[in-house]
Amino acid sequence: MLIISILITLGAYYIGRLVFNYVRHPAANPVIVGGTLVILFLVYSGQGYTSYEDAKNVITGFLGPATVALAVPLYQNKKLLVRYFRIIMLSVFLGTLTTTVAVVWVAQLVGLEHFIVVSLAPKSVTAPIAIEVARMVGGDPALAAAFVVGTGTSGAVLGPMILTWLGVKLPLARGLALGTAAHGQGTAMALEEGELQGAMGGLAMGLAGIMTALILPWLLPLLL
Amino acid sequence: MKTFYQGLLLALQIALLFLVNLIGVYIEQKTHIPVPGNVIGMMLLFLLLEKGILPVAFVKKGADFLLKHLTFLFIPVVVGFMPWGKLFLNQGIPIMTAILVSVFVALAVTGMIVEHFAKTNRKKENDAYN
Repeated sequence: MLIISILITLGAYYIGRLVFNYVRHPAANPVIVGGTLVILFLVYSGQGYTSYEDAKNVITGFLGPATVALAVPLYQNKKLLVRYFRIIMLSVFLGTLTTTVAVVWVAQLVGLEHFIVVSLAPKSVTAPIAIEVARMVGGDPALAAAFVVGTGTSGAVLGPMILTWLGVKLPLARGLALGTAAHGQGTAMALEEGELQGAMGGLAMGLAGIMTALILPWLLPLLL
Repeated sequence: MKTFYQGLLLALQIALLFLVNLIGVYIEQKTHIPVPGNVIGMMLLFLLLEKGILPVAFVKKGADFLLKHLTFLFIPVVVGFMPWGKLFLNQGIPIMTAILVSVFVALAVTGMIVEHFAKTNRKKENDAYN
């Protein structure tokens, strides 16, 4: 089943790429199209989710080295990193702060239960950090991981369109915004736009994760 | 023979990236700093390249390959959403409202700050556009 699951995922990815290259629209990104195809296969073949878990662990095992790999485009764009250092730190910090305040306030406004609100708080950052932070502030780690995926998916699909609508055109700005708002999935989408966008997405993702881990434990009690 | 050599080189470079990731995870576990191992690994590799300890050619092919197919690695992450389908069916609208508002806020704040400040330097430099 492991080999079949991996082959199914590769096939779904291939189709997702073909669709993306054909329509060239972020809403048809390979993650959504590919993921939907795999879910449809698991549901209609009667395999269910549990049979897919081994393949998931093997494939996501490459996310660690892929994150490390972001150091290469970052190194190649070092001049930009040095020149815009203060703007980068300030913009990612304010983006992280406001997105956290927004999610906690809106979640309470629409009447979600306390444990859901707390698990939503770290949802903008990469899963390994979000899970740890959720545990620290009394949320549910598995639920937090699901919210991370929900955030990443909506950010990857809508992010490029929203940025264009807001008039954000610079590759530097688009990469940083996508990495801050939608962590790895946003970074993957930024990489589709270009190498510089991807490098900045990876940088923002790392910074936003570190900042969230440092500020959320004292920020959250002020918002509840 | 040439494709075999290329494939081997790619595998070795990815193995090297795995190793740096493992060192990052090890540092995270030993020091308990609130930074995940893969981000520590990313900073470590950046330092190695920056200090000239590791030539970029040693990891370039592997890194380019992994990043080119980064979206593939996220497909199982999306599939992992399946068991949570019920919660999202019951409370999906309030949850998605909170998520969408905050995604918009992050994009607007970070994106527009960078766009604004980088544009003031526009006449002098063109790097941000290239």
